[in-house]
Amino acid sequence: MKILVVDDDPIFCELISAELAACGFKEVHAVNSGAAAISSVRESSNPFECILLDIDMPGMDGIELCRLLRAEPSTTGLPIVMVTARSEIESVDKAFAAGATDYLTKPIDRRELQGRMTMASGMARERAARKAVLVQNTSTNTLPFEEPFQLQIDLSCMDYLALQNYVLKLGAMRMFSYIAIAFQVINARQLYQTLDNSGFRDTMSDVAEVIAEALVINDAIVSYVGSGFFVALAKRIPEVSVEEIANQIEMKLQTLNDWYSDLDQMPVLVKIGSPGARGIVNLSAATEILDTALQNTKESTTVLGGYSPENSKCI
Amino acid sequence: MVDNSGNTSDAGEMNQVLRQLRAKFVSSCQERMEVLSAATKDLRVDTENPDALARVRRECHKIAGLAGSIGFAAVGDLAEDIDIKLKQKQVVWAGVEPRVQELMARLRDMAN
Repeated sequence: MKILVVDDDPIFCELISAELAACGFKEVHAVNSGAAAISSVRESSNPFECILLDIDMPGMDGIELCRLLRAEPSTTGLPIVMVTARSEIESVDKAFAAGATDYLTKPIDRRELQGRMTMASGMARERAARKAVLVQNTSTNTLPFEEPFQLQIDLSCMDYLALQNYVLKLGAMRMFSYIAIAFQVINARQLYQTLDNSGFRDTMSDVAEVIAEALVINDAIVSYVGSGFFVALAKRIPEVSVEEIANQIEMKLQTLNDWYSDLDQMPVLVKIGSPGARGIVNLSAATEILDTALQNTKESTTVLGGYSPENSKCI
Repeated sequence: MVDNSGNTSDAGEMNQVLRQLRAKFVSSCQERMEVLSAATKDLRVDTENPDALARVRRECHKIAGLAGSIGFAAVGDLAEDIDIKLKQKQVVWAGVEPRVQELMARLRDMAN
């Protein structure tokens, strides 16, 4: 795996390169500024597969650099691991919002580095495999139905693995300030079977955008889980009314479905579940809130998008 | 030589790299101390000088990230404590200056 390390301290760059080599990752290129990182990415004939960014750098900081790298064609979907001192831990929220997929803390602990890099390596391999399949045949459905993929909307969306990392980072106490609401496109399989890769991805991205807009005042982050399921992580305050969100989504889906109808595409029908939330005293893993929200959606009977017996054949 | 489990089959190679990095860090101590010393002088004139406070914090931040990773845990912890206090504006300069002086003394010892 070809790795780009960005840190303004040359000695730290040498250290992390050596630690990465000790973990089995020997192809490491290190630079000392955001500008040098952008140049390296643009000029490299053999693309990078993972990037490690220091958050606190003079000039362009790691968060701004992360945002710029997400806009670069060759790095848009790469695992980006933020490297941060404990004093900067609060900045990790901003880094995730800018597109980071994970983070690790300084001083470097080799076991932690190994764990994070193993995860990043898995993401990079999966991305490369999907890309290869898509290049081979863009007209058929080679995107696995059950698996998550990156949505094509703005930065209010997050890769599902990154969302899980983010929730773990928030930890049990801070998760009290958040709720998770899940959604299911109940005719996703039919859409998957009738649309090509890009059509299915676009449709799921449209749905994500509708969800993100309905939850915008709660700063929601939307993630596609796979199999037509979405999870939105939203701030608990201002209080979230599921009924109000459902009304907003219903209205937006009607507009979207009218447009799909003009394109001879079947409508999207969306179920919304009751929110998952954590109590202050809860010993379970922070990510359980995501599983709870997904389970609530499976049990929900509220269907949005103009559901009627007529279009029930879409399901 | 590195196997797939991530364990170095030649731990000596990593030790060698760490020795080199420690030596580089030690030889950088004088320069780091001078950065802290210059900022400290500025803060004696104006204890709220934002530029000087930022220079102290930046240097401590860099030391905190590096020193603890290469086996200088005490220096790393001290620098991290200053970094966090300045970042969170927990104390005024007078409250953090003794810690900075202590860090400078440790850096001086290492440089000598």
